[in-house]
Amino acid sequence: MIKHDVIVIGGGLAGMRAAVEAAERGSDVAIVSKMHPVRSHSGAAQGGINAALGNREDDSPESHAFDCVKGSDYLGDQDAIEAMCEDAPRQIIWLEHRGCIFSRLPDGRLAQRPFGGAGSARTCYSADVTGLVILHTLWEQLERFNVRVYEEYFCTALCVEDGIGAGVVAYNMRNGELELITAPATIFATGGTGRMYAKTTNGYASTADGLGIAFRAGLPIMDMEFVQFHPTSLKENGVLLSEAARGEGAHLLNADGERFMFKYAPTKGELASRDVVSRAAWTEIMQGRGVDGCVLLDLRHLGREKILERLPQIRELALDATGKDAVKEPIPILPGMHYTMGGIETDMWGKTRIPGVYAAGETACVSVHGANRLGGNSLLETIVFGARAARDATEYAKKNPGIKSSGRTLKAEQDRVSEMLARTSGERAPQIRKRVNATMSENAFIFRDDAQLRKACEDLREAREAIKHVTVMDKSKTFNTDLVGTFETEFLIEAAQCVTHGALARTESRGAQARTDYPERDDNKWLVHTLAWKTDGDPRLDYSRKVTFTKWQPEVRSY
Amino acid sequence: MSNIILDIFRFDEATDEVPHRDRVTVDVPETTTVLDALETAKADIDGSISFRRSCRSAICGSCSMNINGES
Repeated sequence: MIKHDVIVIGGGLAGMRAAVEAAERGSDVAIVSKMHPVRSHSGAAQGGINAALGNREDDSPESHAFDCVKGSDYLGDQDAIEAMCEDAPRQIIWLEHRGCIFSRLPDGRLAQRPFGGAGSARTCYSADVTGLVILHTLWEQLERFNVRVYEEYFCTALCVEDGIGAGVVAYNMRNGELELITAPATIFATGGTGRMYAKTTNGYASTADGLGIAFRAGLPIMDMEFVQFHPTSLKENGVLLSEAARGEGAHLLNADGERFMFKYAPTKGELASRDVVSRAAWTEIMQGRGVDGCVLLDLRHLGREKILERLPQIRELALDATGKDAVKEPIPILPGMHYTMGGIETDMWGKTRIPGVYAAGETACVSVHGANRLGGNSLLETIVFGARAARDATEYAKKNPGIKSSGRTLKAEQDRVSEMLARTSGERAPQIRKRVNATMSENAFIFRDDAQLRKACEDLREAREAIKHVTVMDKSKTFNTDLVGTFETEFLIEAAQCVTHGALARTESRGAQARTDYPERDDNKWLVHTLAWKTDGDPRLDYSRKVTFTKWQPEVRSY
Repeated sequence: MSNIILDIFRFDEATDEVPHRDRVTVDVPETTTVLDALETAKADIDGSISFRRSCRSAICGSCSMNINGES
């Protein structure tokens, strides 16, 4: 049995930031990750990280917080938002002092660029590879503290003893053994859920793992109906072209060459918040003003020099996928699934309702993003709340050193996996997943209505039934990614059910949830979070958690 | 769509003495990436084909491979 004080599940930005914080505080911390940490999808984050440094324009944590509140369509918890925005400048300096290479202004101060929904230019960046640069900085810190990393260990279940978290069971992909990893404190930092959709900016690994594990362990999953569709992804492969392009001045054009965004957001245009821009782009396409099912992202007027200096990666990504050079011609783009605002319910310190169990980053829902996340806030959330969760977890582990798992969960997982591998008839997971992807993309996309969502719920019930009898084709014990993919598909189905049931029940339009049958925001009824609990059938929904207000009352939201 | 033959270098340390090659034919769009072709082979034909991958956009470095003698 492996034992540590604190274990972090996931090695992306939130997970590594948590591990570094715990290590700096003298804790015996380890990371358990299904891949090498620097392969994590945080590395694909491009545009930047928000902090009210005020290096280019007057700014303050308070105006940053207001932009988040408005961006969240008033569903974000304002105490958590204020805490994040207050901490942001400190965290940027923390990263900078550890060697993170941010782009700079000519006078040497950190550069900042404008981003969607922001009142001033407050997004710090490293060209258009910000996530990757921070990821590598944190990896160096892990090496510095000799943090143990259990690489290619796929976490399958949370151990809960008498209502208290006691570690996890993880599948060692190298040898096919399930192992018990026990610790008083467990932090889930497993990232997003993009792979529930057919077209997503997310990589293959974003499969709702921590979320599914927490859900099965009896924790509520919050606000899952709020799925962010990024306006500018490539049609060919769903790959993201950063909002930084528009931040640097790129235009969105329809088939007539019109900068259509000003029809939908007269003041901010292309730099309205993402939910607004995605709906606008999709509306243009649906109303026949698209080009081959896309609208166009035009960077040409920025000039070759600026594109190569500030946006080199997106030029390459577009060139690889489409053969089009952004320096010379507009790039066809369309909205694609990008981010999960919802997640494992936590408080401002990353705590869940099970003592000793924490969550941080995209897999968590604090909630700082509410119904719609602003660009540049996801990296910020990982850094701020990764550190906060680790701070609490480290203290908790010190006070409760004796907690360990009984081995009951390990036995249950061994039985479950043996049974799964012994099965020889039944569908394989990739086929089931294709149906999940199809129904989510068809029926739980940017615009939804009652009939579509009922259809999605029905299709997911069928998928859930099918996965109970799933067959794993590969029986090998060496790097069995067929089995791992099956675990992932199980998690994706449960997460998708939280999305569709939450979306069906929420009879209003707010942020990223746009119901064509309920087009208005309804503040009398819906200033509440959706909590989804696991049952034997459909998720049970509960609205006992109200939105927390501090300074800002709901107003009409326009950009 | 067109038929593509993947000639895959394979080894399972638990059961194999020496590596071997397997040929798999997949029907994929002409513009597909090698990674997507492998995903298709794994999903539709042989689930035991294994490889590392993550971001699928030449950022993370997981799926770098030797293809037709070139890396």
